[in-house]
Amino acid sequence: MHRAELETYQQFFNLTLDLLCTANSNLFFEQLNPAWETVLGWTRDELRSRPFITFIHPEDLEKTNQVASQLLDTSCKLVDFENRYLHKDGRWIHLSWVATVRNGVFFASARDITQSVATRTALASSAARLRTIIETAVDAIITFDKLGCIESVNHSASRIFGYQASELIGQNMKILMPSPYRKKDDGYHTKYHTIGERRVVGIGREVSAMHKDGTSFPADLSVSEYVIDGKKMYTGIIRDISGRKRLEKLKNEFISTVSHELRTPLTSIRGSLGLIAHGVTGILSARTQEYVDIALSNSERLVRLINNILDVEKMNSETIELQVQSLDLISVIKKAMVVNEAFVTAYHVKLSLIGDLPEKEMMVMADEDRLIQVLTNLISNAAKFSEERKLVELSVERIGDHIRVSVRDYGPGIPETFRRRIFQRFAQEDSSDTRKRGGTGLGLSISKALIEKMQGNIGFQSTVGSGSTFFFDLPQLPQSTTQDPVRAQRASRVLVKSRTRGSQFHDVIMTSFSRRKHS
Amino acid sequence: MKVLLIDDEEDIRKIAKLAMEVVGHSQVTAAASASEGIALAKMNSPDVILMDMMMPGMDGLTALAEIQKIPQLANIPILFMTAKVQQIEINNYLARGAIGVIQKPFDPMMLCDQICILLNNDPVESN
Repeated sequence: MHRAELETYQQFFNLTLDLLCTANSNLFFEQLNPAWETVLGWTRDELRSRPFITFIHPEDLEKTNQVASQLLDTSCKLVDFENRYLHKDGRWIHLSWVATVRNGVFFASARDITQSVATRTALASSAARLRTIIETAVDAIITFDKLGCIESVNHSASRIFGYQASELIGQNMKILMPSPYRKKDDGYHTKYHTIGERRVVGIGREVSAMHKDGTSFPADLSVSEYVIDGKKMYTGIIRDISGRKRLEKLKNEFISTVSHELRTPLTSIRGSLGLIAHGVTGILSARTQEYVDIALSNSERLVRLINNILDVEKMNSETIELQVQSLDLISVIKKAMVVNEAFVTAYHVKLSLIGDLPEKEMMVMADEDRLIQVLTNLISNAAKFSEERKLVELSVERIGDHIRVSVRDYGPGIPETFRRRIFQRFAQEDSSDTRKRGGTGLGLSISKALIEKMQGNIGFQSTVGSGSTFFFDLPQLPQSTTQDPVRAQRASRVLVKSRTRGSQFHDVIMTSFSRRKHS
Repeated sequence: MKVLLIDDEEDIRKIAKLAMEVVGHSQVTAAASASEGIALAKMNSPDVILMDMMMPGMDGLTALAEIQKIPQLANIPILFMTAKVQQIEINNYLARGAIGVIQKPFDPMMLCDQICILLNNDPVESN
């Protein structure tokens, strides 16, 4: 070999970033390039001073010894393997080796793969974690392609639908839907892929799913879309909600029964007291009249309390249904004033609509009965907390694209400490309030939920000693919007003015089918 | 106005009858069960049937369907007076052909006015 050629090899040996070495059959290093010092921190003399196996991680010793023996026995063979070497600072450096033996001498090159091993371990651990999460998820998780062909399922999918994973993979998603829904999903795919309409993707919805045994069950389905290797794929998460549905049904039946059982005796009590109090059964002495009135007003309070508790329960379970339609807010306010006139008068308070009323209608989308319920609550609160002969003022104003309705009283105002709790259920300033004012502590909580359900906001301003203003804002509709006659017909209700003190909205509400008679 | 009242609760029958007769100046016949009510309706041809929903034997909805099958009674407007007034229940009564619902507990002083309004007549003056 020429000298120049030798120098080139020497340079390559010295400059390469890989670790190059020779070692003898006594397992001592002989030649080591400078990269060893860079990678492991030891000097080459230190590395040569003891058998190389003393630098190897104890767990990798057996494997390394096997490789060394194998190389010595079958010389010339090239072997790949990995092990860990001790860095001078105590860390373990992962090395990937290629080694061979010639005439009892090891020739080997190694590369530091510590970083890629760490990455590989992290990836494997992350993949294992994800697999565990998916496999232990309570919901069925199914991936499928744009034609609905199932690519993977988790353990819960098998449990919920009763199939082995192998029975589902490769099948169409339709296998999991009862027949009336199969066609619908085809429609979705066609629609989605032709006009890009997202009917399912991204939105959770209730569907009917089908078990392997052919029985169907209610399920919540949400689908998300992703692209992998240029291929559009979907993940469906399906939750079996049969248990929840059964509970809901039981709860509804329970509420309906309790409500019925409470109202039936109350009907007799309230009815009898009503007839007695109004002299239908004979003239009463002033003293008897006073006590019968007390009994009557408390029976009415009990009715309100039952109605309010039922309303709160409906809000909790989100089963309350609003009959939303476009309404002229001013006419609703006027109706609410009529409904509450007797109640307000009983408190010797005057109800007044103040300010300049707009010339045109102020249209909002709302449920008329529920809006009157909210106004009734605000007006009756204002009346209860007003001093005698004071005004309760209603006003309407535009604020941006909303309409604000305010009910102002000149009562004692709301103490600072109570303001935070005022919209909470059963909130009363102090426990004696319930008796003193005859409220249930549920009105404002219900009003808040109702207004929010109608896309509005409710709030108040109050000054201790000067009074309070409760208001709600509803989004204003354009003038041209007209009432939906079908919806209005379906749910028209009739309100009748109460003649008795304390009688409120719920006592006098009836429902008619657009006053339709049998034909 | 001739009213046929069907309710299995005797107390409620007494109260509603008194309220409608004395306050509402109506002529009231009362029945304690749906089958008794149907028999009375055939004899008396009432202007309106005011019926409870939850009754032993035949419930209000079954009675409504039975009445609708009898040509002689099919045109008589039927109102339910019931404590079962969840929205879903009300929708069901109306869908089956009831013309209105009066919620229990009712105000005896307003009962006849409510019936008149639901029948699309002017309330009777009853002060």
